Amino acid sequence: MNKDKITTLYRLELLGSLLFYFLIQFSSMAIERAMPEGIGRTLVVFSPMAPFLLMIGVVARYFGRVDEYLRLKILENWGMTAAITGVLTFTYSFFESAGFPRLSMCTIMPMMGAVSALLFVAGRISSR
Amino acid sequence: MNERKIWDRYLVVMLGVLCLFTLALATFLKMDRHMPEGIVRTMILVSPLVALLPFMWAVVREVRRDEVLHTRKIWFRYIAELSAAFLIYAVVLTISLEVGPPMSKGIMKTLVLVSPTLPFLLIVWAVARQFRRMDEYVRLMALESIAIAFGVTAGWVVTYGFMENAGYPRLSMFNVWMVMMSAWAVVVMVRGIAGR
Repeated sequence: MNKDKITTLYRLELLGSLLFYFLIQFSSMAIERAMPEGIGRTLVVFSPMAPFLLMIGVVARYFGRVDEYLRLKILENWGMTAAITGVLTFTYSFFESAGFPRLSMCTIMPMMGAVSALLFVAGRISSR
Repeated sequence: MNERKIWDRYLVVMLGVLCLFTLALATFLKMDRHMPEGIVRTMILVSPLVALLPFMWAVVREVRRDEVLHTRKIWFRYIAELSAAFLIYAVVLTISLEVGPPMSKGIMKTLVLVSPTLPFLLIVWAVARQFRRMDEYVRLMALESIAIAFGVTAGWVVTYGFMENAGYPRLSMFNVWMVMMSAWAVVVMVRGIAGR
């Protein structure tokens, strides 16, 4: 499979899994409010984990398809994202000591995505 | 001196250091409560750390002795840089926790409480420097381990986000760092045991 085909397939798979995730997420949020406390409600609350695992699977598939160079670039991107996320969350924990509110863990994932995307764009610009 | 003799001597020094450290720690734990504030009490408090000096000396000798161990100098330098960064972090954190809470609300209090982030960046810098020193293979292995730890952390934050919806309390952001570092350590250990 050539490079363009791999990228197109990856984008399609990721977009599909993302749409599936949002569908399940919003459905579970709508259903769980009306449900009584119990195992059923917990299962509904956790149901978006299934499309999330699907997303991880899509990324893993893409990682397996790309060449050595691109794989290294992706690894570097994730490594730097992990380091920046670590620094940002660690810094915010000190802000919490100063009286700032505790944020939901749901804020971390979009932040990780944004940092990764910014690093990707910065890498593309600097390589020109 | 043959290889066997070198290792025997090294192990004897290490055991000696361990005994000295345990003795100093036991003395500190036994006597600390009964002693008044003063120079003698401070010296007893510091004595377990002094026991670490012969340990450092033994490691430096071992690194210098053998050409095969030359590459370990890189790791030794890394440990030295990381320890220094941690020490500065501990000092700044202690000062900020002493000075910060009694201050009145405002920008100064926030700055004082956030100040440990600066030495924390030194820790990140020490890790980044070590990355530059590593050879290609070790760098790839380390990057793979960090990427797996990153994936585990991402999975954990998303899972806990759903748990918050189910009524679990909001946790401090410090937990993200703890999960990431624990996942990294576990991944490195598992890969080490598996021999990959």
